[in-house]
Amino acid sequence: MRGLSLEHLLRVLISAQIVLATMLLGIGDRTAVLTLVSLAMVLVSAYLTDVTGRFSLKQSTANWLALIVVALSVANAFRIDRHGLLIAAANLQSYLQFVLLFQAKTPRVYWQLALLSLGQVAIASTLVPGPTFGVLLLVYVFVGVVAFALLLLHVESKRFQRPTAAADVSQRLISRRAPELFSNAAPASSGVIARALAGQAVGIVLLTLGVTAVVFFSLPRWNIPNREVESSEPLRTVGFSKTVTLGELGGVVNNPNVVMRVEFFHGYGNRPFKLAGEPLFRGTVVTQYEGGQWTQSAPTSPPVPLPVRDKSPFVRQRITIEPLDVTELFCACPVFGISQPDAHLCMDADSEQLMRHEVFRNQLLEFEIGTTGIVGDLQLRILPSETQPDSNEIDNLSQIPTGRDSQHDPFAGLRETAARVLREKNLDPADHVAAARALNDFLHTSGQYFYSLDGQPRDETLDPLEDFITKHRRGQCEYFSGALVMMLRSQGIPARMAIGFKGGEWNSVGKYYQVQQLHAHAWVEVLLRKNEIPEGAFDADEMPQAGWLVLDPTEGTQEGNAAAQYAGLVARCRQYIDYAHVLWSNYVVGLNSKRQRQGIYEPLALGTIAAVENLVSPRVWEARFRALGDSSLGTFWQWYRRHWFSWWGGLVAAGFSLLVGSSFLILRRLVRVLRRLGLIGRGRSADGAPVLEMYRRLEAALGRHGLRRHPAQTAYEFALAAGGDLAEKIEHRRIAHLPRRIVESFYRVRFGGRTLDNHEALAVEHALVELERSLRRPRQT
Amino acid sequence: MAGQRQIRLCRAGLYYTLVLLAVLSGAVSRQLNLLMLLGSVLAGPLLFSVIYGRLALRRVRIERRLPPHLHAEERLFVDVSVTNPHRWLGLWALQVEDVVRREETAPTHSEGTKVSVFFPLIAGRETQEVRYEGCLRQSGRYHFGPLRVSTRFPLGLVRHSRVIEGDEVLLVHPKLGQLTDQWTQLLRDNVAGSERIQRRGLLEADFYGLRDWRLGDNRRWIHWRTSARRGTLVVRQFEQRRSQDLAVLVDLWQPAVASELDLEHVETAVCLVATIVAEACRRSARTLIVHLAAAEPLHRLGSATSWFFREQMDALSVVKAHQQDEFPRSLGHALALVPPSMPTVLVSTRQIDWDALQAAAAERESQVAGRCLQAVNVASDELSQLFHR
Repeated sequence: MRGLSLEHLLRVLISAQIVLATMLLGIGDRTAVLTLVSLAMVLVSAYLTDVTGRFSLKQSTANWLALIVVALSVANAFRIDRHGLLIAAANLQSYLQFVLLFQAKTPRVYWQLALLSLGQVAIASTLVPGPTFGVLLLVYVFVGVVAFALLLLHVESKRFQRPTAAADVSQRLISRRAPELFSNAAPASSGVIARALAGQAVGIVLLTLGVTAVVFFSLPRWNIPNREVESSEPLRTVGFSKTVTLGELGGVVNNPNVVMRVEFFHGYGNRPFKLAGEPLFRGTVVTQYEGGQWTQSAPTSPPVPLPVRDKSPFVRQRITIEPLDVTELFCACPVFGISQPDAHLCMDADSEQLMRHEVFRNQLLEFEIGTTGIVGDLQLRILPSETQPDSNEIDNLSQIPTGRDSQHDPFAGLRETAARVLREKNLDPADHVAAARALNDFLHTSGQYFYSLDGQPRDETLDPLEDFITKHRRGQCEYFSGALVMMLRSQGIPARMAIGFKGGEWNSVGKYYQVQQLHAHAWVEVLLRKNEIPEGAFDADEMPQAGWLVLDPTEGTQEGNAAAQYAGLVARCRQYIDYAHVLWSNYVVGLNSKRQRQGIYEPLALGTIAAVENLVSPRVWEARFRALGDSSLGTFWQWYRRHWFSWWGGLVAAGFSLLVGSSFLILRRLVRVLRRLGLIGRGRSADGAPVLEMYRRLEAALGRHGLRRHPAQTAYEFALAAGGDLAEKIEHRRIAHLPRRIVESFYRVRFGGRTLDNHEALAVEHALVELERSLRRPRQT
Repeated sequence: MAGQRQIRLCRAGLYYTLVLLAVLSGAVSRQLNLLMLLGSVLAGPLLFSVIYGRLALRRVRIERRLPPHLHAEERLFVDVSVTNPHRWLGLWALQVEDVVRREETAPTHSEGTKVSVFFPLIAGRETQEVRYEGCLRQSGRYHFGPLRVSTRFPLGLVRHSRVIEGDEVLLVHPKLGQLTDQWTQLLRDNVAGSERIQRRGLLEADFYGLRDWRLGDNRRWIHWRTSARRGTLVVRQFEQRRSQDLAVLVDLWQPAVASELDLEHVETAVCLVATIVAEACRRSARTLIVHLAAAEPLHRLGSATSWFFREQMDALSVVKAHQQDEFPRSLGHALALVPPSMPTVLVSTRQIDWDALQAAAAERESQVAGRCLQAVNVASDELSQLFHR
């Protein structure tokens, strides 16, 4: 064996393992320094120590170096936090690897290198949460399996090499009379081994994947909410909270970071669905405006737990939200708790704002809530409110800032524009719904106002909203929404601005909405008293105390962009990748006892029960037979039952018989061919059974020719006698020797305990075929 | 051949399992899913190791081919062939261990000597053959087997092995040494002495054929009947006896507590006798008498043929030395059966007790004196002048 080549390959693979482990660490620690240093060390040591042998650390020197490295690392460990400690441990393992890399490579050194890299992967598993870890782990396992298989082959081959002359002499000295035996190894090309091993490793990795799946999903999970581990990733910045400054969403909408993923289900069903339009996920609600800044009114009461309601019908929202820099949550409103209170969630009673407790802010959070704001697959444009608004709230929602100078109305132009629009449409401001929709249409469809993410020049002397309405008519969604709120309030219609996310990207693979920061949006909610709610908006028995009319003056402006951005094959790939992220997040990183039960055990149990039921239930079989009777086959059978005793019926029966018979013959022929080719049945060369079968075939072939073995004859005698008989006929003379040859092979296997190699087995097979063909009885005419 | 299966965790496997358990227990106790994933991934190759070996060694066919016969210290070549019966499953890192054991050797060697051959890869339905070689220093009956086939593939964590029971026997003949010129001279002197004593005549040669008379031919050789028929002188042609009869008597003794040197002397004596027999058969000696005073006395008389040679070699291979301190009487008895004119070689592993030999011969009304007797003590230094191993 060309051990040197194998060893080269082994070194390459072990080096790859080292680099892969540091890559994993690098991803976790967000630095490529360690990876690059490892790569450099691997290359330098390969050249200096392995290839040229110019530099090699002695064992004692290496031990001292390792001790020093450990001592320094331990000394540093007292000065760092938990995360730093993990990184320090990983670095220590790298340093020890560097020491080992410069030593002469023995199997022990290879094992130590591999163990250290495994330790690094273990540390990386606590640092890398994404599916990258899984992919790299798979590659790591593949490389590791091939490397260690090579190591085994390399070590064993070396062990079986002939001893040196010195060893030979020493053995003689031990005992001159003892047998002197030398082990040996079969020669093998390293290229052949490497290729075969790669194929074998694929099999091992596939089995490993299967085992991994079984073991991983079977390992017990307690009720520890393991997803409530603080994220090591930086928090995603939403960009707005209780205070929103005009223009700040411009920066947010260019950010592709994922904020949350939302699935909608009808009631307690398990089939997610897509909404007919773009969903609005409300977050912050701001009511007070001053100088280009919207703020919430001061809370009058502390947050309360999310009330659990029993409503039907309702839509269930399953939301997985990333760690964020705000406590506000985003969802389709109005919301209520389902089944049991969720300890993570609370609600601002004033604004009906869903929030999470501060302690869970920097965690990936998954929760389920119900909403009555979606009916069928449509999100309602008038949202029900459970509480009757009091006068303070109405005043708050109707407030328009007066400015520094009480004589000067900062929103004169805005007021005038709103009044003009209503006047032109001949609408009474008292009809809040009609007036609000008219003003919304004015901003949305008049063609005078344009949506733009670019910063716009503003007249510093004017309020930004006044400037937007009267002069510079370009802006982002906050300008549209803010202006509409002010126009509505100017006409005595209470309204507020809602900020959250609109649309999101529908993932058709995973059937969920993926909401990114670029989907951030602002819209308007108009307060409707009970008597102002249009008829037909709600059923009479479900009429709420008040309602919120949802208006989006910038509606439609983003739809085209979003659609264009995510169209085509790339979008599909993105969806798959994102779904992989979701699966990884849900079923690997976030697998807990509840998900294990709901996602694995229960479907497995239900599937098994259903499968058994399908097999044994008479009802199911009855339905199947009924379906078969209704099918074309059933129709044909009915026809045949009526016409079986007719010419046509006879023809069909004959055709069917012919079909069955020929199918049987074809099948039998196929089985024989496959058996001869060795593709089915037991091996020819490895077992005597096929040879026995060959002898049986020989007897059968000769028997067809009238040559039968006498009970007193041995197989060999019979073959000789048969050969003699065949030789008497000129046409059979050329095959006269074949019975003897076949029987000789048969004897070798049957009585000699030998095996036929493939070549011999093929020769016997050819001889048999030749004999069978030559002795085939001529057809009777 | 029945197979006895065994599975054993190797040292590397033990460490691997410990690491695996540590990772899994840490992961479960801390509920760290990614660490659980790592532990699960580590479990894969371990399970594969357990499954692979079991599948791979099933129905594997192994054959050992021994040489038909062998002399001690000749090069031994044993072919071991392994057939992979599986169609898709390759046999990786397969080690076949053979045990070579000499029958009834000292207890220290009772477990035999182990030798292995290694097959890095045997593809599906393939047969590979590897030869191991060596040297068996002692003659005797050697048992080969049982064969133990094992593999540690893929990671060297678990060793699967299967013992294939049944052994094969190889009779290793004594080493054939070299008789020196001095030995040949001694033997020739004996033969000359014998010829002087015997009267030469026609009977000392065998009839070979007829040929025309040539000048110098003895007139007694003329075949008158043929000469008359042909009308010219025809003489009988004889095949001259070029060899002589020989008797070999051996006192194969070793002390009750035999040292390495004593055993060596026994082996040398056997080796010398084998060489004498081989030389006699090569020279076509007419009659050969071999008597061994051993643990089981052996007396053979026959024509020096290859068959006789093989028979003597087989007997010498398994002969065991006796441990009686007194000189064996059977030697004297055997000597009495040997015609006095027959060249006789007496081989012993100790100083020859002539008195005892004489006494034993006298029991059969024979005597030692006046015989063509060549005595060789293999323990003495003079052996090196007569014989080289």
